[in-house]
Amino acid sequence: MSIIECRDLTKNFGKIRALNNLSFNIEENTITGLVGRNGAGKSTLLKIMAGYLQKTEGEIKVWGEDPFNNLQVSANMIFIDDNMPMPQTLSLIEILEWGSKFYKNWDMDIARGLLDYFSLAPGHFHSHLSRGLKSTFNVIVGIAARCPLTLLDEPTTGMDAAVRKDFYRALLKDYLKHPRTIIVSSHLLNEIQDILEEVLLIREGAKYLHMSISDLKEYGIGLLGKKEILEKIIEGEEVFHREELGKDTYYYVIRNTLKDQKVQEIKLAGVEIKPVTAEDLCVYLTAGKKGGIDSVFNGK
Amino acid sequence: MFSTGNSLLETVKKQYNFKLRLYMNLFISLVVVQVIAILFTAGGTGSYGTGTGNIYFYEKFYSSNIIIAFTLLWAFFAAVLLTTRDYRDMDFVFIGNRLSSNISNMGFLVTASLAGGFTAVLGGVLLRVILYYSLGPYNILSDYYFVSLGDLSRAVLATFLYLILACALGYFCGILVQLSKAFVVILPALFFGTLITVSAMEEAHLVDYVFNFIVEESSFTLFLVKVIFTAAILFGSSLLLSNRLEVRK
Repeated sequence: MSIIECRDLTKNFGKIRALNNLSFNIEENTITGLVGRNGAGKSTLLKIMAGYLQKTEGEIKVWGEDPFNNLQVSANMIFIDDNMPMPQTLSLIEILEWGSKFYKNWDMDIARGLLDYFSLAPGHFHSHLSRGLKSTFNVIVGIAARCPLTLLDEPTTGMDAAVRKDFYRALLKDYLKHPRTIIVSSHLLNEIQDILEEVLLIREGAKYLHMSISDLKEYGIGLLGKKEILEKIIEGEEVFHREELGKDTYYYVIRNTLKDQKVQEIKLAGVEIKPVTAEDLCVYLTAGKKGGIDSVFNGK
Repeated sequence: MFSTGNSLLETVKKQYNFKLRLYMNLFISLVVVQVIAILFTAGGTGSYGTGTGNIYFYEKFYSSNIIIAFTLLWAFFAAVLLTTRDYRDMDFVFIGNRLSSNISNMGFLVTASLAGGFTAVLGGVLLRVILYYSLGPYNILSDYYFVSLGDLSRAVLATFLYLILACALGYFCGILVQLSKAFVVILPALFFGTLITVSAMEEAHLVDYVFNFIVEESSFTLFLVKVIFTAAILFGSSLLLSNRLEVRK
């Protein structure tokens, strides 16, 4: 069942088009990673889903209803990002207690346990926390709320590697125990891919692709070899990336539609085949200017 | 998992209780404002002296007007504060929509006005106590020194209603500013401009009329009705105007 349905969603901020005819569906009880460049429209999309921002055109339905100004949606949804306007006058434990008063599914044991695990003093105030600890507290609220729709907008901002690992694990464990629909936007796809089921890649406000993580990991294939040989092989194939690695060695990434026979041919031609990580693939797919960053320095 | 039946009333109640705790600093600032007002008043609000020959006398006037005035200002700015972006954003951390946020804000402001009414009137009593001990009872001449409980409760009620008006006005102005930053300039300009031009003109009747409509009402019931009506219009308009405002930008 689709929890979120989006058809030709467009959002303008004045003259800037943040979302451009975006269409997709999110199924119930899945973890979806929302991936894209900075400024691609991920936060905007999540905030529209949460009912904070209004759409300009198109249609967005959460549980079949418009999420803007919608109490039903608000009661079953929580949106966590790195600059949440948490109450300044309440201590951490008080914020958690009020969370439990608002949300019907709130799990206070988990909340307290996580607070203790990450060494957050219950009596401290949110504004006194470091950036990483603020993010940590915010995700504790997000996990403990157990909302059927949990939206996390770059929740790991500022977190150190150890905390990030713990966060992914905690999110996954609680998700498995109490299934819900989770959408996480993150730049660290390599880290988070192990807990994701689906990936939605946004490019310039529009959907670029929406597939399972396992499909995404095999979507592209990397070829390493001499330029002339590579140019022959990639004829007719969809090329995502070209790079010069060294003297006469080039690295190309193409769409993985190769049959076994072709793979054998490529190997015999002296070309090395490498898998492409989901993160690298997304970078290539959303690449902007041709020539890469080197062109800035070469021009001079 | 998906819970239905999240009624508006339930959400408003939760938000209202939350705000009573959350905005506690406003009550502290109320006390501070009134203490400052009392300190100002303790210096006297006016004086008059005259004499002839060998006899001179000097009168100093004290009034609890300043306490009420400061409290009115506090109420106005407290209401404006609630409409600012940070405070509106906070409403959406947990559960709420714009309607429930506005209603719970108004509920909070009514509660704050009641608290303000009590403390302002009792502040006047405190002033009398301070003067008793500082000036000595023989030096005090007043018709209104001893205030009956009936008078006190009427004063509290009247102050409460005036504070509600101040809150409603503040909330409305605050929402206007949220809709367009231009109002930060327009509203003070309108206010002071009206005061200046009207006082310069001979036709000061219009402002007087508006002012006296509220202030010079002798019938209490009618006053109550006027306040409720005006506050309803101001709060209602604020509600309608802010219902499509975006948050967490």
